[in-house]
Amino acid sequence: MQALLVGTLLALVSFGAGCSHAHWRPDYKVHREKLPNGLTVLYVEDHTAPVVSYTTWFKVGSAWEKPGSTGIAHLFEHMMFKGTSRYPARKFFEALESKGALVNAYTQRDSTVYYEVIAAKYLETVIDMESDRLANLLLTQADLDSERQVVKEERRLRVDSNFGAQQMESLEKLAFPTHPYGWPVIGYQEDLDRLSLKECEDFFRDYYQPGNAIVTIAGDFDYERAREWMTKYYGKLAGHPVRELALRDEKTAPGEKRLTIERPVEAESLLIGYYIPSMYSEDAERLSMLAWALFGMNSSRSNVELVRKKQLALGVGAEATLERYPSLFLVSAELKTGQRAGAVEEEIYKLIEEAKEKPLGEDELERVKNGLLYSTINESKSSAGVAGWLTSGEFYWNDHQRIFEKLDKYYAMKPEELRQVARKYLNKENRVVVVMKPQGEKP
Amino acid sequence: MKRVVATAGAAALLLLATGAAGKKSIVPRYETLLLKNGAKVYWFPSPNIPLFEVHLNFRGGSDLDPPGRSGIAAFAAGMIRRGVPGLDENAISSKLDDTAGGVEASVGEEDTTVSSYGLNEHAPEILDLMFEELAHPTFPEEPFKRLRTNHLDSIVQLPDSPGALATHVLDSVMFNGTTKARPSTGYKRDLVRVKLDAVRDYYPTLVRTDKLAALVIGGKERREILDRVARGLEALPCPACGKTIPEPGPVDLPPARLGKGTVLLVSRPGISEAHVRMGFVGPRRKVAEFYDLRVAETILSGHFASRLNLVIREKLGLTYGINAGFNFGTTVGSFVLSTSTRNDKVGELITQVNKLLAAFVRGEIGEDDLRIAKDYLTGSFPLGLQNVYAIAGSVFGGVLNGLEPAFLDDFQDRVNGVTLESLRAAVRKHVTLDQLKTVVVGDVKALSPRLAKHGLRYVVRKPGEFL
Repeated sequence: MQALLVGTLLALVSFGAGCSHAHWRPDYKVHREKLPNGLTVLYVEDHTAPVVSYTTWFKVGSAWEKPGSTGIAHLFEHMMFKGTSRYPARKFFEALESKGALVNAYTQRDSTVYYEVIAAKYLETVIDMESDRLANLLLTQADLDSERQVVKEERRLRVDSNFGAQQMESLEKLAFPTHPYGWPVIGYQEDLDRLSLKECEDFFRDYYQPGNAIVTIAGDFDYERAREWMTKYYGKLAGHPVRELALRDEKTAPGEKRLTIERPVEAESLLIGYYIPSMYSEDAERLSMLAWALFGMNSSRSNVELVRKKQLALGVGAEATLERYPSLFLVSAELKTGQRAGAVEEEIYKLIEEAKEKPLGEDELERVKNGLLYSTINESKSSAGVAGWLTSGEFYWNDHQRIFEKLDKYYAMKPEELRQVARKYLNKENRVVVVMKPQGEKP
Repeated sequence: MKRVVATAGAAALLLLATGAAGKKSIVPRYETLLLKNGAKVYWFPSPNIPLFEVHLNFRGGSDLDPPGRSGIAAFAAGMIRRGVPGLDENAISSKLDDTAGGVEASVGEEDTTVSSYGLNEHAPEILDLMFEELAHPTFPEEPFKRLRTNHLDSIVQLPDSPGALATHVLDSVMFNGTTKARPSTGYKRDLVRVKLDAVRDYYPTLVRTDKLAALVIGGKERREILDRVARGLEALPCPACGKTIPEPGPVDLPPARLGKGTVLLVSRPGISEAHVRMGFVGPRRKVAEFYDLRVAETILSGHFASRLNLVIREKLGLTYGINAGFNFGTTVGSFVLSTSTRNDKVGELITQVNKLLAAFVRGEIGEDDLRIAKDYLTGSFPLGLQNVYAIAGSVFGGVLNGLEPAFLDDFQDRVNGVTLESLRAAVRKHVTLDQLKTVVVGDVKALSPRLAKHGLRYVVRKPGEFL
């Protein structure tokens, strides 16, 4: 067992040259251990309220899927609630919800996450139930058939009735014609229809293993007791080899890719994606900072120019989607009725070209750093928020403290670094554009 | 709560009470202050987290918009962030972003809220700016024009979000005859007519310290955040203080009148999912049967083992999600059920939901239902109260609804006090299915035969009739 104590890190205030923001560290005790079967456990103690949050992250998501089997990661997430012989489906929920627990899960491209938030006195029950379903999940054809309908319904609601989601799906497909990031996490209807019980059983065996998971317990618990319970319930699970994921980055022909889709909407909308490297790149944080500085603040140039001065858009936003594999720097614009996407696109490119020519002002960058500081402290109001960062660090870097190093990198960033990444990545030959235009029968 | 009356450090303040009470109280230490101008302030210190929040709640919102001028309160609140002497809106944005702070204004049906937040170390600049914005807004012309087109766009583009459109249409038919039937941002026909002068003239009606309750969270000592808020509030001009605001007359929407049991089908072509909303006007927060109704809605919805989820989603596979519950307003509330289904199942879904609700009202509720719902409500109670910010927000919400701050301490006992008899009686009294309105937004061509097949009468309307 490896136990690391982050220790009591109080708010440290440093006043560097031209930098007046404080560096904040949350004040929680953190322990990490690895069980012999490979399960990683993070313990985040916080005795403010008699509540614990319990999350299980599995290193599997839609990126692990194959063409023709899209949606299995997400469909399987639903199947994980179908129960075991000790806790059949309805009993699983009743046992937790009768104690007031919040129970849910979500699937992403790189991960699948299950969580419970519950009164602290029931922690052992949660550990028992979670370890039980990891070992003894019952998968039946009847459950698969009914859950398939629920997931198809979810897709109809989230994608087929949501034109913005359809635009995003078109962009990802255009950007990643072969890589799994090109298909939606929820999958395609025709693939969902095809998924078999055997595929679900294989998926469970291949990826739902202790060595492929991180459990994080945050809140009001006694560390030694929690360790005993984790060993008692999870220690008996055998570890099986996990199927490794080896993907190649998407290689597309250089040059801008464009698509126009028509939907029965009232206003045009614009979605631009620039290829960017994975989260492991040195440039990852710089791109994230650039997105925030140019598009994310009330005082950002995009808001001043496109929303307030020229009044072309109701809103403009951007995000560097930092993931395990190279992804996209996304810029989206919600247009005012009657405005043309082409005009907004031109203005966005002007802003980007300006950012390449001349570094952002120190004041602009300082605002982003202040915003980051506020968000960091705001998230630390609860140990569950802090636990999320720590788990993310453990998940992607095998180092739960990595997140704090990354925060330090953000605070130390200089305007010239942002200019360099803008020049390197935000170029015409490196981008994908999808415009959605009104068409068809109007209501 | 111990009630103490004493003069406070700042001359302008009257310390009404200190709370929290004894060891057993969930509510942490707080103070209640009454300012000379009538404003009441609740202060919750937050010694360990260096963030502050201030929420100014002015009684009066879009419900008070005069006939033919719907949306004027939303405009008045929207102009708060647009300029003060010496600073235009871009300068205000920069100043706030410099400090990672925020000032926001929003209008609800019954109240208007102006909030600010940020790091304690920047509280002086952020709070001073908020009070300057409240006291001396400059009402510049250009931002006003932009705000108007933005509000118009939000209405025109509402059909692009079928779920949001369905919710709005249900409000329209459910509250038809009252001001609550209107969208808070106003009707399109009113928005195109509104003038800046009218908004400027209306503004004092909204920002009234004699109708103000404030929540302040943050700081260890009063001088850090609280005293500055108190000074700012006392300096706020209030030309409308003491004046009576005329209640606007009833609002009638001819297209929204619905016969009993008739489904209102709103056209939104091109989608494969029908968005369903069902509801009726319900009780306010201070209703005597509040805890019975919380248990009732928990039996119906809100968790996996609830009846709607188990029957409509799990057993019948008709939907991905279904939620229902009471919205307990200050003066009046509602019961709203939200769900969606594929087009070919819309008739079946509505029929099944009606059947389930009817059985519920008939009293088909067992001891097991009661026990599970009570356990869920009492067990989940602490989850929403994990820090002083969350607790203070709950306390303040209760106070605005006329409750004593210590109401949280009684919550679990009151829930546990609900019996099968009291529950059934409350459901019979307040789940008024004869008043139930049903709205479906979706593709009329695909949906109408499915409704007819299940014997459901319907009328078809276009979204524009409700905007």
